[in-house]
Amino acid sequence: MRIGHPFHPSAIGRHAALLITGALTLSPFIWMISLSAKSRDEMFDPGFFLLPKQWHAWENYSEALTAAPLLRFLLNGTIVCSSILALQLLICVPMAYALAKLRFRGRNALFGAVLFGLLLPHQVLALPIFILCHKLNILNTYAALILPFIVSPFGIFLFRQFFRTIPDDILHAARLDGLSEFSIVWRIGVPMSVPAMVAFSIFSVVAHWNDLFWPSIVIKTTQLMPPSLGVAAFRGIESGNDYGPLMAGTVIVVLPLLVAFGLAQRWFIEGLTSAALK
Amino acid sequence: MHAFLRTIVCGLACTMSSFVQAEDFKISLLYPNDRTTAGAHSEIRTLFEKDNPGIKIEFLAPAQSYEEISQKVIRGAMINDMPDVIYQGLSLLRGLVDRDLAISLDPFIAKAGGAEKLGYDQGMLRIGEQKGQHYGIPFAVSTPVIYVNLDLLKAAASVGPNDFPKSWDEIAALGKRLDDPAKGVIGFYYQWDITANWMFQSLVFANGGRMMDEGETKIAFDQPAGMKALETLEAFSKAGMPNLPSSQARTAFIAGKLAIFADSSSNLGKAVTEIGDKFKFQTLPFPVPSAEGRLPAGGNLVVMLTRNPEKQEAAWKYIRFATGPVGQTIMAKHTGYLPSNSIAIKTPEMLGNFYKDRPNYQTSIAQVPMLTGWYAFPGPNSLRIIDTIKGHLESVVTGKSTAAKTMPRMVSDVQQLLE
Amino acid sequence: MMPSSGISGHAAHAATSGPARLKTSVIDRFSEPIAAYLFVLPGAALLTILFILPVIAIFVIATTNWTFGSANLSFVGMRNFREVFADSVFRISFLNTIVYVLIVVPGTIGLGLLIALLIEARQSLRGFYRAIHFLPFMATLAATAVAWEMLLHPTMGLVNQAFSALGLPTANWLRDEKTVLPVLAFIGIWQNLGFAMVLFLAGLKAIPIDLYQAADIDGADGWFDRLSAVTLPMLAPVSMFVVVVVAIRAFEVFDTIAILTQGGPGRASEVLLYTLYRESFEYLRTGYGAAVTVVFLGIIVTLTLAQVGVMEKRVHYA
Repeated sequence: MRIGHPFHPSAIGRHAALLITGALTLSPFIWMISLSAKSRDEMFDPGFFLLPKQWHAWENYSEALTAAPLLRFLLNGTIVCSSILALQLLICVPMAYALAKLRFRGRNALFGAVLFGLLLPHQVLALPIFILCHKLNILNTYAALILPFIVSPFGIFLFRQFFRTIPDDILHAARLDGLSEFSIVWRIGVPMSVPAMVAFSIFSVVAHWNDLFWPSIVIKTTQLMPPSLGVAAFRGIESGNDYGPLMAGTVIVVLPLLVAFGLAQRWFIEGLTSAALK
Repeated sequence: MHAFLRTIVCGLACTMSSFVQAEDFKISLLYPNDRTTAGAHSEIRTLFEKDNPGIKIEFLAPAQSYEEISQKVIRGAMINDMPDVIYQGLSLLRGLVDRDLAISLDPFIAKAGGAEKLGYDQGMLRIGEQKGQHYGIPFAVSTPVIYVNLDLLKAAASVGPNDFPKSWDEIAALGKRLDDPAKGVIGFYYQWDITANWMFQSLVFANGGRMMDEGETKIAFDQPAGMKALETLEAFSKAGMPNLPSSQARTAFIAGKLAIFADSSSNLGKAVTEIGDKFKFQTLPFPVPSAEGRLPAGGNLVVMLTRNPEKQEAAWKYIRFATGPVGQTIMAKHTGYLPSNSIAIKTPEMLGNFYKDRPNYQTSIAQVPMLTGWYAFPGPNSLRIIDTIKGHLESVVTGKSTAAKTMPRMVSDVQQLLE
Repeated sequence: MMPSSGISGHAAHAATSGPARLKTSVIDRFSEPIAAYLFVLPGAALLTILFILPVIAIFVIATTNWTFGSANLSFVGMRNFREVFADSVFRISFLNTIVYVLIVVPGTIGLGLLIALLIEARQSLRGFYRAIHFLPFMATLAATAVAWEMLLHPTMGLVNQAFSALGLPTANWLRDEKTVLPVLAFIGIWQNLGFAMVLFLAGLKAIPIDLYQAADIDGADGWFDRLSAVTLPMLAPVSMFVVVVVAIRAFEVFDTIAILTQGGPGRASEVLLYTLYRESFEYLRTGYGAAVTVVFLGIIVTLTLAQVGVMEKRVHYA
């Protein structure tokens, strides 16, 4: 069905181009995986060997799993990231809808505040929010890892852009049909913006899975560390880095994200189907 | 209002519970992340808790650097939630003392019978001295040493450990001869960017110089001793020393790709276990040209932070154990650091025989008499000064500028930050 | 032009009945703002507490000489700001950041869009290509940094080995002040193109197929025509978002510098957020760091407003 495709270079050209960009993109990862299976001596071999001469993978991976409770860190990451995402959607979707489609006093000022929030790097806010968490007595808990992030200017901005593309007539018609604004948001707005929701979910999970800075400020005990902090445990201070287990630990920590991304991909396909029905 | 009440209630509950549990103390402890010392800390804790039922040591998640320890402690001070005991890098002790956070250990040492009885060498204790009192007891000490890959030296230049050159110029020249890009071998590397300018201070102090004068009113590293130190770095650059990230240099040595390596002796434990018998290596003393030459001690010390008197008693028991003969023996056997406890060093069953069988460790021990404190600049900008100096050292090491041109700039930059 | 849907057809019919229409429009006028306020209340409250108030605190601290952990502080007015503008490190940092942004933003967006278009063009292996190109964004830089360090190693790294085999010039990429910033920018593009790609993919998927059909009927059937008549205009709202966000991320680059170069060699890779972080967190000069923060925010607000202003004008919504 060629009419459907908006942009079609030849199939071979497309594969060639994507394979080249793909290979370049993957090269550090291939190197990382290769390193995770090598022993220390081999790491500095001047020649380029993808496959290690001596498979040290078992040692490196078991070191990564035992020297620090990596599985526990993965669990922490799962709990924290899913909580953050759920709360973000709950809070940011209605707000984005209001900013996109409803008229009310203060709308522009609020949108300005959202944009301003978008610009603020988290390092800047760390100290005041640290004190706030202390006042709320949630330091060194999951709550401290979750609460500061549940309003996401990025999410609000993204959803607002997508909601803006929804034709007003559809919304008028829905209102005339008796749907409350609340239903409109969740039963019309969201299904029409599934690609945006999926994209945002991916970004949110990735960002908080890999966040090193904030957890290092609020988490004191090893049991509560998220994956990023855990991997950092393989860097010693005065005696240098342990590359093999560090790479192995990283591979282990990235895998759940890859799996989640793979699952989320199906939603991309669903998004295509719903768009095609429009 | 509610928050205020909640705090009061919490505070009361906590004090009451601490009365109830007066027997079972929890001491929170923060140490720097280093996988070799982690093993030592674990073992020390296990033994200590066995001998002291009723005191539990809680390890907080290790910090990534000494600087991070300072940050955590200071942040904790702001919210009244500091660790009870920490292990802090020598150069950062001053910052904690200036902020009135560290507790003086002199009363505890005196009550326990005095330094000598506990095995604390005066020279070692001096390292933890600030404003005339001892705020920290060294736990793990390192000195600058030179690691040489004997096999590479022999093969490429027929040099043995006994005819190793004694002056930096000669060492750099030898390194140049040993460079072998075809095999990926680097001849010589000086770990100049170790935190807080430690290796630069090594050169300055070894030449008999100081960073600032006695009264800390004038900069002193521009004196001939300091100037010579900067020129030595320039000579390294001229001899073709590359600019490597420090972690890579260490890994390169262990992989047998670096022939002569000036680095901290703390790397020794790891080097021994990782190198095994892949090649023969030896540690050699850091050249100290001046008769008044000194070397800055590296490593960390134990510091007490808790102000609660009962917790202090428990914390002191732990500190005494960790820096005592048993604790220090454990530490030294796990890592490449030197112990501060002379009883441990002299007793054959503890470390006496251990060191006898390991000549590589003795290089560092022999340098102990020359040790002095790792210098920290005064004032609120002391940390920025470190980075400023590092920037200038870098321009010399990379050959971007000469020692002669860099020194005045370095002095003026540091002077500005001291005001 | 607008695609008809079941709902709107039905509602259009119902809308023509008299009294019902009057009633709903009155309710509409009241309930719309009420609904809006209910929707935005939690978000707005959290925004205030978590973003606005802390920033005000920063502004206040910037006028003091507070160092982290010290028990006292005093107001010094604009002294910190004067110091910021006189500081040569700040100036270098600012220039480096601008150069970095000017390389990363076009690179990321161009490549991200191109790859998204290529992936969407045909059905085969879409998931595979999406995953590959998104991988850099998913992995924490703390670890990929080590891989990059090794790849870029002057003697043992793959990049130099490949380059010398191909006859291209080699360099000590991360430690040569002429190459360090472009190399970091390249790593920045590598990291971020997955991000741009995913957003463009979402935007592409939201374009209704009927639009292409309609364009086809109107005579635009070559790929270039489709691109310019349908795809790019319909991507406009998403594109605006992508440009703004990528620009902000580039301006606020931190991790790569913190892990790989720490601003070196000799400040050649010093960037604004890293300067800010170092002053506040490492040097513990919190008052001065807060002043750097205020100036930094001023710059980035100006740049972003300019961007948004320019683009909002050119974007038309449905």
